[in-house]
Order: sequence, then structure tokens, then C-alpha cells
Amino acid sequence: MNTELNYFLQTTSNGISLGSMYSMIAVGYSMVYSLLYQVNFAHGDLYVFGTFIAFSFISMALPLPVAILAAGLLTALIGMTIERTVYRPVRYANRIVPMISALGAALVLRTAAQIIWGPEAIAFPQFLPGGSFNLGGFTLFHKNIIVLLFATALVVGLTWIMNHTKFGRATQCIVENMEAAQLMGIPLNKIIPLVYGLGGFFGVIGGIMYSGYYGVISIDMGIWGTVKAWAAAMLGGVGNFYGAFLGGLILGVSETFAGAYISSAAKEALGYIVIVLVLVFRPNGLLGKKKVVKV
Amino acid sequence: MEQIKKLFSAKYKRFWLALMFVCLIAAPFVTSNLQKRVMTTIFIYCLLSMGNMLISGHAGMLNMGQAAFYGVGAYIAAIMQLNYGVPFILCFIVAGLGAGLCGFLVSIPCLRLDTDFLSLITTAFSYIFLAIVRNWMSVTRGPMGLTAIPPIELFGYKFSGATSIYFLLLGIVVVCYILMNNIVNSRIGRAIQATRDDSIGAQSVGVKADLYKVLAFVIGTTLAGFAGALYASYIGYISPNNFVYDTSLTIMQMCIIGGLGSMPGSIIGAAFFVVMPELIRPLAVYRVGVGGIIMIAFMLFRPQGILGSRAFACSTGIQEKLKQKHMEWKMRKQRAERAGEGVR
Repeated sequence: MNTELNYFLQTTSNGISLGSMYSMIAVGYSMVYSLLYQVNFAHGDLYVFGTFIAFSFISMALPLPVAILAAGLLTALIGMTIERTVYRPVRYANRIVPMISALGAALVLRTAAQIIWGPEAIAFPQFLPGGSFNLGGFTLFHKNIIVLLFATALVVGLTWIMNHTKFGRATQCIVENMEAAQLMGIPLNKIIPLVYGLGGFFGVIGGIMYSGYYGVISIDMGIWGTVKAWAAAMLGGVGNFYGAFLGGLILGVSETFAGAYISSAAKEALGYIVIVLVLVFRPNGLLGKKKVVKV
Repeated sequence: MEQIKKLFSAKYKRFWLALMFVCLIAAPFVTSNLQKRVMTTIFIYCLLSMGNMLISGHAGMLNMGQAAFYGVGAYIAAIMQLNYGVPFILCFIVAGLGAGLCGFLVSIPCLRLDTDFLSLITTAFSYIFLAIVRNWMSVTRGPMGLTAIPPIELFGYKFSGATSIYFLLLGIVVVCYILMNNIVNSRIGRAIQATRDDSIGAQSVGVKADLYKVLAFVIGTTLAGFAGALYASYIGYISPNNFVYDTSLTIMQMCIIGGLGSMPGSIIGAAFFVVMPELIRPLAVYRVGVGGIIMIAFMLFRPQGILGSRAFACSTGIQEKLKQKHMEWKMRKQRAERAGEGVR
């Protein structure tokens, strides 16, 4: 097979894997964001904290699914606690206020992680299977496919939950109109913490996949993850999980291509240039609905 | 209590202002070098947060890339001085204009977007700027940064001592503050605020909303450029790490803690965020976390910031709740008194 073509295919598969992991983190973010339209600066540090917990569980020789599930549940609990202590008291204030208190919560989480696990990057067990297919000279690793499948399942599953369960429909009501939902008997103070918990849970799954794929974890991934998840969610359009998925994929693929074909320096910049270009031409994101401005 | 309130009323405003200036002018003669450095840093951050206050507070566009504009100013000034030997005053002006031009370019796509998409664009600009600075080795020397930037020299006088720089920056901050305050209270400022509160309403009474949004952005980022030029010459060394995203977030926090939509608030916020880390430095590892807790507590207690208007807080916040409790208690007392009178 042509080496050029092989390189292209390899880059594409790497890009799609990176994109799937971005989208897994972004889906959790998008969920929380679409609820109250708050820029959640704690999301990144929350999922990194959860991934650290999973790391501890795995090194305690717990079976992998149990470790992932337990870490996810613990993170969901932390997410709910953050909602209770940091968001709820200022829920009706200007929307900038929760942003700053979330930033404070992020700093607390970061410090806690730094004290418990240390500031250096730690090697994370690479649990994804290492085998590969050989497609006429082009090797497709099993883990590339697994990550993509996982992300797809997550997005489809979450969309199903949102559209077909009582909890999901209650969430949609709150998104539509918080006061009316409350008057219809939807328990606001139960649904909103649950959404925060679920967002943290899916964020952790994305984080564990990322750390398992690249075999590394560090506390610096927090703010980085927040910005990437935010960017992917906004790129795809708010309140739409397929949008977050698409946004994550575009971000991952464009970054990987920039790294492979231009230079590693262009990697960071190109992702953001793509975001700016998309937002200039589609101000509400790729799949976002156009907001009608009422006078 | 009433007497203390009276002391802070508008009648005594001039007295307090005069006292503050006396303190500020006397300060460098009684403080140590470290304290002077801290205060000079506060002045630089004042310029940044005042610029950001106009953009985020008065124009309502959350600018998360202020540190990048700061960096543009710093790099322009440093490169002009190191490579071409241009005098400082010229560098200072060009740095401001350069950052303002970047602000203009960034604000154009922002006109089509609202709130969060806009903060995302400024975030993106911040990261693109960092990527360029880190990798354009021939000009910016990448992560190594630019060293040996000459100290500030104006009209033949070298500002090399801590005290002289202190006074120079104090003067610049005072001038900028007066300018910004006048802008905010003039027709331009009112138009900017009207655009923030209701863009369509403002347009219907003849305010060119887009023009004022861009204008606010350009003025705010120009101030950041000035701050960058001053910082580069003051420290003598700049590297990409000075202008990372965290710095933008800190500047945003200064504005919010100070109170969005209040120019004096931006100065108080800057002072708070420069002094607080210095005070909790002995806590070592726990420093960042304690800073976070202070921020959370602050937001829960007074959501609108120190000098912000109540419009930003709604009826949330511990302070407001205490006030309500106090009012209820007063009412109950009055009612009880009235009932007592009736019996008699």
C-alpha cells in the first residue's frame, strides 16, 4: 500500500480516537451546561479527580469494571456535593457568579488531588487491549475501535435517557422553563443534582478512557479538559449530545492532522482556529438551534 | 452605627480621597522593597482589570483572553526595544495600539455571537496567541522568553529604583482611572451600558450597538497593551508563562470580586487578588485550595462583588438573607410593640 495513504489513514484513525475521547468528556459537560447555561469550570478538575480515584482503585487490584463504576459513582457524589454547596446558593444570581464559585471549587479539587496523588504526571495502567487488524498494510488498533464504539454508545444512551425516561423528560422541562417545571411538580432540587452527578459520571468515563489510551494522568489535565470539553460542546451546539459528539470529533481530527502534516506546534492552535471559523459562520454551533431574540 | 455610616457619606468623599492619596504617596517611604513590588504589581493588574471591567462589566462581553492582549503588548514593546532600540515612550504607545488592533480583530467575529460563544472566541485567541509565542523561535525565543529588556526611560530619566517605578505607575493608573471613569459616565459609557442591558432597545433609540461593542473592546484591550509594555520593562524578562489562560481567569475574577460594572471595584479586586496569595503563601501546598475556598465563600456571601450593584445578585447570598432576617425581626418587634400599646 502507498505509504502516503497509509500515513493518512493512520492519522485519521488516531484523530478519530482522540476526538471520541474529547466527545466523551464534552457530552458530560454539555449535559450540565444545557441545564442552567453555566460555564462549569469545575468539570475538568472533577473528571481528573475521578480518574485519579479510578487509578487508586485499579492499583488496589480491584477488577476493572468495578473500579470504573465505583470511581464514577464517587465522582457523581462529589459533583452533587459541589452542586449543593457551590451552585445552589447562587442559582438565581447573575450567571457569572456560579462561574466564579465553580472556579473556586475547581481550585479546591485540584489542591486535594495534588496533596493526595502528588503534582507529577503518573503512569496510568493501559487497560485497553493492544491487538490490531491488518487491512492491506494499514494497521487498525483494537483500542481505536473500542474508544469510538464506547463514545457512540455513550451518546446514543444519553440521548435515549433524555428522550425516553421520566428523569430525562423532567430535565428537558427544566431546560425549557424552570418556574413552570417547578409548578408542575418537578422536584428541581432532586433533578439538578442528579444531572450534575450524571455529568461527572460520564466525564470520568471519558477521563479513564483518555488515561487508559495514552497511559498517563496528571492534575494539569483539569483546566485543559475544561476548555476542550467546553470548546467541543459549543462547537457542536448546546443542548444536543450529537452536537457535542461531532464537535469533539472535529476538534480531535483537526488537531491530529495539524500535528501530523504541519507541525506539532500547530496542533494546539489549529483546533482553536477551527472553532473560531465555525463560530463565525454558524454562531450557534454546528447543530445548535437558532435562538429567536424576543423584544 | 449611624455615625460610622455618616462618615462614609458623600459629604466626606473628598476627605477620604485626600487621605487615600496621602497614604499612597507616603507609602513607598515607609514600606520595604517587597511591599513596594507588591503594590507595583497591583498597579499593573489595575490597568488590566480596568480594561476588562469596561469589556466585561460595562459592555457585558465576558472577555476570557485579557492575558493574551497583555502578552501582545508586552511582546511588541520588548521586541521593539531589544531589536530596534526604539525609545520606551514610542514602544508604550505602539504596544497599546497593537493590542487594541488585536482586540478590534477579535471583536469583529464576536459581534455575531452572544455571551458564552464570545468568551470561547476570546479563550481561543488566548490559546492561539500562546501557540504562536511558544513556537515562533526566531522572534519570541519561544519558552525561553525575552531577557534583558531595558528599564523604563522617559525624557532622559531612568526609572530603575523601586520607588520611582512606583510613582510612575501610580501616575499612570490615576490618569487611566480618571479617563475610564469619564468614559463610563459620558455618552459613550451610557451607550455601552445600554447595549449591555438591552441591545435591541438601545438600537431602537439610535445607539449603534455594534460600534459601541467594538469600541469597548478596543479601549479595554488597549489598556491591557499598555500594562504589557510597562510589565515588560519593569520586570525585564517575559516568557509565555506570564500570559497563560490562568492569568486571564485571574483578571476575570478580579473584576467579578470587585463588582461587575464598577470601575473602583476593579481596583479593589486587583488589590485583593494580588495581596491574598501573598498573605496565604505560608500555607505552601494548601495555598491554591484555600484561595478557592475564599473565592467560594466570597461569592456565597456577596454574589455581586464588593462594589457591584445588586442587580447582579438577585435575592441570593448570605448577606442578603441576613438582611432579610434582620428586617423580619424588626417587623416582628414593631408588631409586638404595637400590640402591647393596644393592650395598655
